Amino acid sequence: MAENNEVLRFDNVTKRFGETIALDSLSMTLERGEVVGLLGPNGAGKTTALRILLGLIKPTEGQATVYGFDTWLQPVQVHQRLAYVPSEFNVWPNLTGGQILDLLGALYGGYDPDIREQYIERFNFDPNKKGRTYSKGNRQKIALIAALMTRADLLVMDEPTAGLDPLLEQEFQTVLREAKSRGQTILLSSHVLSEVEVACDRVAILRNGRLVEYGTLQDLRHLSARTVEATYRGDPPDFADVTGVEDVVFENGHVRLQVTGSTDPLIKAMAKSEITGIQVREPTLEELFHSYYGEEPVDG
Amino acid sequence: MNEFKGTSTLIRFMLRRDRVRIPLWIAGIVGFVLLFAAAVPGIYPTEADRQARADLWDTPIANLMRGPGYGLDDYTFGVMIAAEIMLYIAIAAALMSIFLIVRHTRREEETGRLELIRSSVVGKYAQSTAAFTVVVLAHLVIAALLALLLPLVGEDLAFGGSLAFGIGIAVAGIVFAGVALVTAQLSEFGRTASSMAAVILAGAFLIRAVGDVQWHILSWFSPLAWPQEMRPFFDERWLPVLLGVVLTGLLVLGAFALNRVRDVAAGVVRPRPGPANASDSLSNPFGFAFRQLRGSLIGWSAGVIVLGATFGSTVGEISDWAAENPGLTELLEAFEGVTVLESFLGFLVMAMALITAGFAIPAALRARSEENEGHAESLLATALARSRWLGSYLLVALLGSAFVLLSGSAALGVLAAIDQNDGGLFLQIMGAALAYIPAIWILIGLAGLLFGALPRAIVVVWIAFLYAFVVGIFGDLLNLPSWMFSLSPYEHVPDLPGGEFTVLSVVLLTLVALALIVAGLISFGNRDLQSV
Repeated sequence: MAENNEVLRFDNVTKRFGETIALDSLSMTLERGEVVGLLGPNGAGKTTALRILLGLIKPTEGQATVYGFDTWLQPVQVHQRLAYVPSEFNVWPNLTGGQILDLLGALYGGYDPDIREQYIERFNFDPNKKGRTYSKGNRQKIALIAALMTRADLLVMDEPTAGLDPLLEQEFQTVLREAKSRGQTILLSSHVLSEVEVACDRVAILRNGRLVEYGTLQDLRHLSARTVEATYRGDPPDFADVTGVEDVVFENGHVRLQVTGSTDPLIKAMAKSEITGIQVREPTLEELFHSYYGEEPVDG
Repeated sequence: MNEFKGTSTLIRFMLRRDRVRIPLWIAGIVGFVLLFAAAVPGIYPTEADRQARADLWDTPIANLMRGPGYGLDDYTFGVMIAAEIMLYIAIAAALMSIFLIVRHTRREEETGRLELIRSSVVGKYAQSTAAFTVVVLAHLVIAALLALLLPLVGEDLAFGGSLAFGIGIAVAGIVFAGVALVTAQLSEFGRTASSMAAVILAGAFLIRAVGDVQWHILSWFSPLAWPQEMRPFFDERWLPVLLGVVLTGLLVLGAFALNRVRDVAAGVVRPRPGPANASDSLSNPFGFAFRQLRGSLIGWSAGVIVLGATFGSTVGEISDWAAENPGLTELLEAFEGVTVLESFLGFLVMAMALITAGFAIPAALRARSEENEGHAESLLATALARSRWLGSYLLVALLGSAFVLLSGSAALGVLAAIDQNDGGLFLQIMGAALAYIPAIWILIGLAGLLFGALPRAIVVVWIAFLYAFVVGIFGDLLNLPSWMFSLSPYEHVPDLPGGEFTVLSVVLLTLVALALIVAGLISFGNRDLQSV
């Protein structure tokens, strides 16, 4: 029955633009009701992945499907069930915000006008102004309201909060939780780590077009290095041959180190000394970021 | 002088940005003149040949389409080259000015790039001044090239006449740089700014058309008449240069004055709030495409109606002329196989069909600018199929171009029918217009195919149009071989009124247009959407 819950699948999707590989055999799936964060430095392939998902560009190899429909061959069937928030929404300069909302809503296949009004109020949006007079944040609101008011089964968002003020960012968090509780599936590409940390069930990390990690934040933390700090009396513990231990720093009766993988060898090595205190700290998402992004120079 | 600070840096920046575009304009304009000058002696080898051509200047149609003419008693190559094409070269130069000025002024503001530039140490007028300087430089280069190269290419083309030719073109071009500088202050949108300047250009064409046919003094009010009034290779006159300098000066000062009173990115008219809801007609792809092209459709229809009415008001001149010149009339009618009036009306309908492409091609290419500006992505992420989206723009272009041509032809037909007291003439003219519609559709189809299959080569559709234009307007003069005629869709249209209406060619042209469109829709479905 797991098959039926599958909303979205990337199957070995590769996208090349001439010589450059924007996306390198990406495979991942999303299940119904999941909120997944798509992370990665600039140029990692996040937007390319989303554009393939929308059928705007054709995979060089592999296949992407949404609810079983091929995103390139059956975009209309796909789009009937999803709504998209681009990272930068280019509005038509001579249409009002309200007209743009109605146009997008109609093209998505309809919406409830009451819901439209609700969101206009919640985001404090003025629908009477002409497109070119909106600020960046207000343009982003149009895209958000249009996507939310359709109540699509799948929401695809590319850095949706770019340009929003902090109060609206908070409102967006609430909106995300509501969407999740309604059972909407959400794929969210973002640079705002707190947003991802609060809202997402799973996190996918892209780097240089490759999926380097995909799992719950919990999983990622376990895979990543944790910081261990301990105080000891007498001879310092010996970590020379202990697997998974790095960056050991001794400082009069105090030791700090990083450990990856199982802590068992570390504990056994420590047991040989007199440990008076120990503290293990999980990495923050920022530290995870550094460990996944920072090792190699990133090309733009 | 703080208002002009940064101008020289901006000039260098614009020259760098347009290091391909400007040389292409220059090469196109200079190249056409040189080719023409090189070809004419071969086509009209004897003095008698030239004199026969000179006699045609007596006809109102020549005055309408080319100007008053001059030096007709001694129709040298130089006079022939200048009198026959200067008007059109001046129009090309004016278009170059309009496109380049708007591109570097209002377009930059519209996209928000100017904001960044103006936030640096750059004066209020620097952008306008730099754009104007760049365009003036381009015109001076054209003038210099013509002055130096024409004597090398053509027989008995003196330097003085060549210089007058080049300067004459530059005067018209630079005046319209001033016009565009003003219209760029008025509208918030680059598209509207260029359209307004183009309307003024069309107005200048009409003023001199009426002037050259009826009241000659009127022509002096049109900058487009000035190049020919310089009379290159005959008795060169330099008064038009003075007029051009004065008018341009006034326009530039006017543009600065408007620039001073408005905000960056704003027009002179402030945007007003609009409806909070979209009407039903706006909420579907066809209605949306129509809405975007509505202004252009109205503008072009109005323009063509004015043009048709102006043309129509000269019909009386034609019949008078035919009555006064029975000998020549007989000769022409024997040669063309239709009456002089019919051939005149047929030519006017063709001219309007060419002008209608000015609506049709940009309408079809609107899809491309929607893609480039990132609008297409938002719509295609909805449940809207690509073929329906592109098809909507093409359909508006198809129906709209038919509407534009028919409305202009109706204006011509009504006035011609009244003047000749012959209601049948109206129907004949409408029939001729109907026959030209599929030729315009082929250009739309070509635009659709290029958009789908080769979006980077989209400029080819303009080259195809230019080809049809040159063949249509200069084909006879250049005595082009028949295969060159047959490459233009406009030449497959039956010769109406007067000739025989051949259903087959109309049906075939329509089928070709539809095939191109279908190919465009299919190929667009198979390519990546361009990201912004």
